[in-house]
Amino acid sequence: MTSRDGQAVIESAGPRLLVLLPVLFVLATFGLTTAFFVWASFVDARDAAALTLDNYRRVLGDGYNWGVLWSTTKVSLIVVVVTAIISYPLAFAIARNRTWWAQAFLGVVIASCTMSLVIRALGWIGLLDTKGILNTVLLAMGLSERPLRLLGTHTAVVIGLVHGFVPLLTLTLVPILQSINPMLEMAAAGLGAPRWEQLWRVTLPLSLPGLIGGSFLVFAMSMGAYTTPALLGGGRAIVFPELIQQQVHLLRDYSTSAVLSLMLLVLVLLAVGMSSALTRRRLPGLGG
Amino acid sequence: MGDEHRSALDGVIVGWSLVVVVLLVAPLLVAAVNSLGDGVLAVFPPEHFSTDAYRTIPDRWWRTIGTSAAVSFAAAAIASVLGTLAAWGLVRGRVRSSIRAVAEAVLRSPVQVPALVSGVSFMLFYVWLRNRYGWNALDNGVGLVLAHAAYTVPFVFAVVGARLASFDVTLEDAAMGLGASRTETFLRVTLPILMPAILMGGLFAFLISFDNLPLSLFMVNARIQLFPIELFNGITFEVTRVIYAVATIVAVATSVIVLITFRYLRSVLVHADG
Amino acid sequence: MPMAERAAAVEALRLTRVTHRVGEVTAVDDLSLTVQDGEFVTLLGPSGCGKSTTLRIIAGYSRPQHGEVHLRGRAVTHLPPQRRDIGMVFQNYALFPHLNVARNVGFALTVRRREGAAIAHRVDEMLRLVQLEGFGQRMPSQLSGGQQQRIALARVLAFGPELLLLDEPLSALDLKLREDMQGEIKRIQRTLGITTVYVTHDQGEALHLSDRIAVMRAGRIEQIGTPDAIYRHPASRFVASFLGKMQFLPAQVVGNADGKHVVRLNGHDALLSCNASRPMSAGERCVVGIRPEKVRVNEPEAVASDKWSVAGRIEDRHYLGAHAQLAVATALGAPLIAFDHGDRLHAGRNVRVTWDEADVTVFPDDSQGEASVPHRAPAAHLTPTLEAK
Repeated sequence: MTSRDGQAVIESAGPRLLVLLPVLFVLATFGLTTAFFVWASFVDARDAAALTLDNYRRVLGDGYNWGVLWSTTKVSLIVVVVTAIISYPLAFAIARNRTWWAQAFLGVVIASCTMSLVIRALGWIGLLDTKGILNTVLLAMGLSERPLRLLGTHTAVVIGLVHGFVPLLTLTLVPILQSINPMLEMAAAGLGAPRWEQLWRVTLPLSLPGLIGGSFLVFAMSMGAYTTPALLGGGRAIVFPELIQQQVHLLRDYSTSAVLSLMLLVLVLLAVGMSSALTRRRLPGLGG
Repeated sequence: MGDEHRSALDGVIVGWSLVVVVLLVAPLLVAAVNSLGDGVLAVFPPEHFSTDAYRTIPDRWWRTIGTSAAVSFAAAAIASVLGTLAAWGLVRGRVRSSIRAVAEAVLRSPVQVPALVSGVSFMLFYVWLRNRYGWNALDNGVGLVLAHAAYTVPFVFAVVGARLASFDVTLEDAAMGLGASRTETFLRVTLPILMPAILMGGLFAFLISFDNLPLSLFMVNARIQLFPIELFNGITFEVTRVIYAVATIVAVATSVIVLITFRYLRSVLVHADG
Repeated sequence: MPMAERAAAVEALRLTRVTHRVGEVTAVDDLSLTVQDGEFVTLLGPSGCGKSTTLRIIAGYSRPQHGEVHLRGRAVTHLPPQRRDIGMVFQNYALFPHLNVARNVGFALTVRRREGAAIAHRVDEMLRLVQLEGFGQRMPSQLSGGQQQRIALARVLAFGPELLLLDEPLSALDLKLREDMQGEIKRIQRTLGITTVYVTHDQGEALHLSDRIAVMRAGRIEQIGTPDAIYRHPASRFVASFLGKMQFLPAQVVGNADGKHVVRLNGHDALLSCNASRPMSAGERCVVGIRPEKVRVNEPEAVASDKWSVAGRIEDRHYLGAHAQLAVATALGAPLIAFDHGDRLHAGRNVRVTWDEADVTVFPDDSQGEASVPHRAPAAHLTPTLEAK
């Protein structure tokens, strides 16, 4: 951005104040509600006027909650690794080719980002159900004797989440890979490296910060995901957000849901913080 | 470009990408396939080909889609205005960097919180508001719109902010040198060039809001029913061909809108080299 | 206003002791400049010398801390750009990407609320002036660099400004195109008779286009004058080496006679009687500046014995197409660069080098080559024809 000199004949204080309105709005809505539910987590379940740590003792002392948190974390870690492995080559192909099909790939990725999560899950249900397309094909081709029971397992949840995050991670990686000059790989080739070593020793290390930063983001989103696991996990493979939902809808236990939400929030914000620190992605023109 | 540089590994990478891309599209294809068949339940393979499902979509689906569209449109409109103002203020204004960092963090925050957690907290807050002050934000839909608007502000902020940051300020200098006042410069030069970014941000906001289930989950009731939640309920109850049909229609419509808008916006963005 | 009346009016542009600081840096330092009606003045200098900042101050995009800007006697120092009736062409053209060529060119008129028909007529006129008729419906992104440049010019001339400012408009173009465009700009300026201030770092461009050149360094004007005056009588080593090439030979001032300085070159006995950039006294160390094209290299037999000359040997010869460049070693100092239009003088030959005393300027021996006196002194000292425009 071309900067005008300090005399600022042109600029005024006007623009500065404009930003206040949106910030206030977000603070008023998000800030208030977040503050509210933090407060709610301390409210005594029996006596609405009193504040207590009982809720925390109860929730944090319940092994079941930790169990679900742990299995959610495991699922999320798997999701991150699988998503990264799947997305990287795709992002590489898009970033390095100026062909029509690379553009088409990009188009599909972008359109896929906008596809509804529910509709996605619906599609996977149709695919993975015991009477779904996959099983029908497998049985018909004799590759399996019995239908595979995929829905309602953590596997299905992983598949669904990966499918949702691949487009996002790919779009994050494409500009990063584009910024790595292909001449570096050619230089490595000239020094004797075969193609896989060029990528392994040059491209991958250079793109690693961005990849890790993006992965933290995927981890955060995976931990907080509700829709996909709820639909594909079938109530049997439960993730943490579902726990929160149950507290609210089924048990009407708002205090517990507030504590659980806080636990999740802390974890997610930690992961997002790591991601920001690694990618340090700020809008150009905005200092910081 | 490295065309001379092809190796088997590159071929494998491209092949892998092709498979991934096909898989990305697969669920949509599945939904389409499963919607075309006879019978109520969606079994594969269908006995006969039929478009019955499309013709027997109950009215309530259209009502739900309409409600969702209205809520999301209102939210996106609000978010577009706010996000643009924020981007303008932060990119163009001279703000102390400490304030700037804080403002940016606040404006990015809604996305970083899991939607479910936000949904819970909004609901709790509105319930408390209703009990304390009698204002039922849940019943009149205002609560929903506000929540969605706040949730989507970061997207508009990011898109418009990026466009503003790459905006060639000499264009405004030139306009003023040719005699345009500051207001005229804004209306004739800055805003037209910025508009595609604002529209794109607004479209993002709309789509994200339309599909957002967890945020709305605790704020729907008998009067206000939203599409993703209805679809969710339908799926958990029983997966029928009608459900697949509705899903296919919405997915195709969404994709078409996105592709058209991107094609149009990208051509405008290419020309607007400012 | 008819031409005669315009000529009798006040100067087109006057900058009076303009100073502009940006943070720690003084971008423009106590600068004064007068431009007459219809003149083409170029601000020439290296990057960072303040020429672009000066232009922005004239246009109104920057406000100086001190000093004043007058346009035709009217004080405009505090007026915003839109009220100054000045047309400025930016380095990156700044064509509005969302408007077609016709709307770009007609922009100033649209903003002044002229009638549609009048605007269309003027746009056609301007497109014809820059030889891009029929381009009205195209978008800027569809134009080549040279075409964009011409449209930027047309856009700014459309509303008939009093002053035309151009900020390195040709720097983005390749050499051939640049030369063509230089001719175009000069032609248009002559046709319209519009007062023009041009900024460039390319001395060839400055020499080609300008009625007067102001050579700038570190926010000040080192010397201002016609191209010829500056080239032949540079006021300082900086100006001398910025315009064309000049080589400097160490010497010593011996005395003054007939208004000229008598100097003796190191390593030689002969006394030369030359002009100097500033007054110097006997015993002062100095340098003698000579341009390569003025150095004459001859075979020893060809030089008249009473003419001053020095012995030399050709060390190197480079073929440059139109001529050859020689490096001649002498006792005077570093090898002298000279040109040979024939093909008899080859490396290894013994020769005799000479030049006319009138082609030489003596400068004080400052190691940085900067004028040791404020810029006003050289201007007063040199070329009496400076002010008689």
